[in-house]
Amino acid sequence: MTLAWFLQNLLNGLSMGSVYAIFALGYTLVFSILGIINFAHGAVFTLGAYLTYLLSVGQFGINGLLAGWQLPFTLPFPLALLAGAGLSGLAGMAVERLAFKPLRARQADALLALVSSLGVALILVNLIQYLFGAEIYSYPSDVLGSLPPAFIFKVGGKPVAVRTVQIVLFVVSLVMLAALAWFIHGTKAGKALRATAENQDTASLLGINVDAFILGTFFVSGLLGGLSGTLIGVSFGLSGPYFGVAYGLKALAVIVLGGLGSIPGAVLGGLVIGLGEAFLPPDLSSYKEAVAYALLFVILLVRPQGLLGGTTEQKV
Amino acid sequence: MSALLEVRSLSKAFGGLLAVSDVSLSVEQGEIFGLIGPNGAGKTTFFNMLTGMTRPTSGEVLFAGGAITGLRPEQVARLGVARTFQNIRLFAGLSVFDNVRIPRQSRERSGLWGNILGSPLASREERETSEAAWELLKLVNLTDRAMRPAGSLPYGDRRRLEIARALALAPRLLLLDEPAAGMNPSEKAGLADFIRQVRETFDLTVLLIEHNVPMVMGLCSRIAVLNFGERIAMGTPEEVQCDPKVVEAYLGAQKRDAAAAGEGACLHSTM
Repeated sequence: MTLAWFLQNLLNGLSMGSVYAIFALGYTLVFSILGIINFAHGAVFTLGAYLTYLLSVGQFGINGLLAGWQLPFTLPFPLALLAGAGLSGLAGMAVERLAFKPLRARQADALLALVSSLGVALILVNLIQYLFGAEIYSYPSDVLGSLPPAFIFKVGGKPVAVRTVQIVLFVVSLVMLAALAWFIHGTKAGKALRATAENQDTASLLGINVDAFILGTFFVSGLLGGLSGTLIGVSFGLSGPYFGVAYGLKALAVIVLGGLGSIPGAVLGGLVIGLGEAFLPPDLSSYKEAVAYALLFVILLVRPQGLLGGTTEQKV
Repeated sequence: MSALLEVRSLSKAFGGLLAVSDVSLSVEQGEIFGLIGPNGAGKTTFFNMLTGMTRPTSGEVLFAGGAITGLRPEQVARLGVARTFQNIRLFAGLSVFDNVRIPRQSRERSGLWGNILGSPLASREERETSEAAWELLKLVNLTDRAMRPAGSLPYGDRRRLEIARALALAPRLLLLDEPAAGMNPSEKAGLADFIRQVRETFDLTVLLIEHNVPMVMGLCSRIAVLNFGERIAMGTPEEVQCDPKVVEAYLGAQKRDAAAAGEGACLHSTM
């Protein structure tokens, strides 16, 4: 229990937690405007990871339909990251149009939208598997160009290592969080979005194009999903088309733990789970995947509405 | 005078229930028109059809000469039809000031990028919107609480804020759904004066749903009465007040018989 050990885990936890936060925010945004959990979000996370990999590496292995096929160009990683995130945003919009809007137009029960979004998730994941195969991919070590793979400094005589990728994760996530907070609280579109989240009918009667705002929300949600998929992918590799599902479940724990529909709650929840995993004693590390739900269980015993959830909370 | 709003044979069926049945009426430019009727008469469904929230089963709505039947709510709103709700629907988590700014924002020409980059058009529009919103808050005496969340206001202030928010759309037609609900007689008198004043100031036409017969009688130049979805009477307050069908709808058949016998059963018109 040295200072170096503490710092090392703190950095690891913050880096992962910030990615959990932006991924979970994708759920939160859709939930606050439609009151529905979009189960296709985990699949969009996978899609984003695969798209960025394709754009920056240029090809996919040996098993899928596209085996041996070579993209005629490749992009430097930062550009591929942006393009992958943008395309994931478009995928998010497609999910809204295919899985949610038709049901909403017929005023179907919210449970049906949940099932149809699960359906879209399965289709997407299987499509990825069909095209790219089921093997594990990892990025080449020079994906971040000439940057060194890690920075090592000494604290009290003990080394603390920060992987460059971890810094990228943290910085990109923080930038996204800041941009989102500013958009929601600092722009007139953000105000209209909050109004729409409070009451769609009233917003539309005041001239707000609710349909456009819903579509825009799915774009941002998909973008956050694709971006976090890419960040996890570049950090740990792509462990197959289903790897978004596990993270998707974890992000669900994040939003419930933070308080359903609360944006600060999703951020806090992400950091709590990220840090909880990082500080897990090494001999328990095989239980890492259980940390999120164990924390969720304990916190809900004390605060059933989640850390920052409340009956009068402001949703967006 | 010409009709600003013309409703032709409007009907709405929910399954087998005919909530509004073949209702026609026209509201003249500048008029304060009342729509009354007992609970469940279809008044709110009627409003929902005018504003595009509910699609009519049949019939037609003309606003300023053009058909608005089947338009989406935000399209109807942008043409200049604003409404308030029986159960007040403010954006409770947003500030009083933002509540009044939002309707005007949706009419601005500058888009998201102009707003983000601070283009001259966006800055000017934002200033104009804020000034206009401030004027409306002055009108309803809420400037001192402009930055408080709208949900924290007391009931009467929320009513007035909701009207101010509707006015921020710069409407030509204002639909008020039971604006006096939950008010005491002196507050009702104050509200009636306020509605008259607003109509003068903004050159509005007002269509008003109200439960409270005396208030409608004093305020409106013409009245239509709905009962079980049908328009059972229409005319000046004096004409409608002693109409046997209206008396029956409100007070029951006994009083109607008394009215028919010339015993003068009418709805009271004092508050």
